[in-house]
Amino acid sequence: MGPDGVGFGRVRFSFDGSPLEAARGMTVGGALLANGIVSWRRPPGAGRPRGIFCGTGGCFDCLVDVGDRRAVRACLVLVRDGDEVHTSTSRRASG
Amino acid sequence: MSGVIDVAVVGAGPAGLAAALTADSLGCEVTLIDAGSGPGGQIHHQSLLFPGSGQARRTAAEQLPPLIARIRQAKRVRHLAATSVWWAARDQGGLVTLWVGGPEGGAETTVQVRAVVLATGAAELVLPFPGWDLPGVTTAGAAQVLLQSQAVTVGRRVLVGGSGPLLLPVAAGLAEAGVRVVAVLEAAPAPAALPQAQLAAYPSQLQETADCAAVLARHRVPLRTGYAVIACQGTDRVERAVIARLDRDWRPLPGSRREETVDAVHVTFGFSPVLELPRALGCADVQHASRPTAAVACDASMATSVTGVFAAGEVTGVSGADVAELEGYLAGASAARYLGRLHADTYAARARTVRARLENARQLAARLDEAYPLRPGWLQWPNAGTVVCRCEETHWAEIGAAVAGGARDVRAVREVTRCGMGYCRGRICGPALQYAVSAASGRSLAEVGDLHTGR
Repeated sequence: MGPDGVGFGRVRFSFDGSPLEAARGMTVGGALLANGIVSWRRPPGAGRPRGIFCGTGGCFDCLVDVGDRRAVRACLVLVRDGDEVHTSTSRRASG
Repeated sequence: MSGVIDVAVVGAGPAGLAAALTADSLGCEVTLIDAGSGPGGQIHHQSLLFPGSGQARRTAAEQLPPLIARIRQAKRVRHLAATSVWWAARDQGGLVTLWVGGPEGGAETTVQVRAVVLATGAAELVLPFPGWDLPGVTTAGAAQVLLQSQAVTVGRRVLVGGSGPLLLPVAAGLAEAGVRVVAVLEAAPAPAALPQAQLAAYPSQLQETADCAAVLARHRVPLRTGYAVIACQGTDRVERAVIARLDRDWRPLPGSRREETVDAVHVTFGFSPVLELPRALGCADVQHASRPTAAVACDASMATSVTGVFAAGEVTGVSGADVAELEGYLAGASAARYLGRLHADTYAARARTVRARLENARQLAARLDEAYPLRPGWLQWPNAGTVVCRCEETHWAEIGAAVAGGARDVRAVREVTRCGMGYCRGRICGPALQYAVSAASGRSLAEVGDLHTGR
């Protein structure tokens, strides 16, 4: 058993326009880390870029834009074939 | 969704699974709600990867724990996976409504239930230090989740630091996965402080520690007690960590600082019960005497101060998986008794058996709690510009200035500084903020309260 979208093989997605691959079943955050990318959000203030911090959906540091879904938590959302992932500058989760 | 369900169990870790199984076995219709994609909670992470995908490494999590195997057989348990409870309210007639939806909102619906078991667990407790907001610095739990569920590691040359029983298994897992763990840094001045004699009464706990220690020894990973990462440096990710030797109160010892080249740092300082839902329902909670955490108050049957609302596991006090599971059995039986599915004498016999085991498990948990206290010297790690609230980017100096300016408790400091007002609602910075305000104002943790206590 597994969540929807988990299956054999790999998925292709892009991050800020660059084509990438990941194992099917990874979260967006896991897929980015697996490609050596550790940050994908610019907080609104003068702060540093952010990526995974708590890894369990609690901290909202890892917000990322996936297609037209703005500011989703990269540690929770599974990456899908064809996803266009973009650095997020959102202040609030879209909810 | 329509119809009123007997019992909702919120959280599918050991406590929630045990509660759901017990209520199910006593004839209750159970809805089990959890944010994870599979049962197990934060302690049993199943691999999200398809076994044939080539990246799914074999981990301990793949050996299916009995609770997870059993929940899949349970007849009357409906498991809502990847589902969050956003809000909860209890009406005059005692029915509880839960607002549930996907992890990113949308598809929101309500569930109406006669009884609730809150098994929402605990979040990792972290303390701020310069550079903790650099990419590549994560909680130890994050490193563990990424490894167990996705076979991903954040760095290739890492430090694991902080305090508490989580350090060893996280470091051992990373070492086994091929990560160069430069050292494990435990801030507590163990081993003298570790209650080895008492631990001897609990062979499974000892065995786990011994297994992890053996793995670390095989990979030549040193365990240094009385040390901490007190700063991280880098531009777009962590490149160096500053390590210092600590005195008993965790103050960095002069002349002991040195730098290590790393590409990731994983930190943890214990756990903090997740209280949003119990507080939404009006459940009373109790402040920990020495840690900046609170826990849901429960009686011996795991009933909270609100009729029909029960709690089990870390949300009632951080005591580990064994206590959580036993409390889950008790809470599930208590919910069934509350619904009239269990005679008082049958309940009493069941409860007696569970309570005897619970007593032993809680004693070990209490000793671990004492062995890993937070010490005030960490207040010397941040500098004026260190981010405290990662959401609102409140800086360390602002906290002290707010207290000096007359803010007497955590909520007053929040109003002045916005610390804890971001989307994580203070889950990450809340404990450190409470500790810092207590220290700066000279008032107790209970007196300064936390971000969500009333005044």
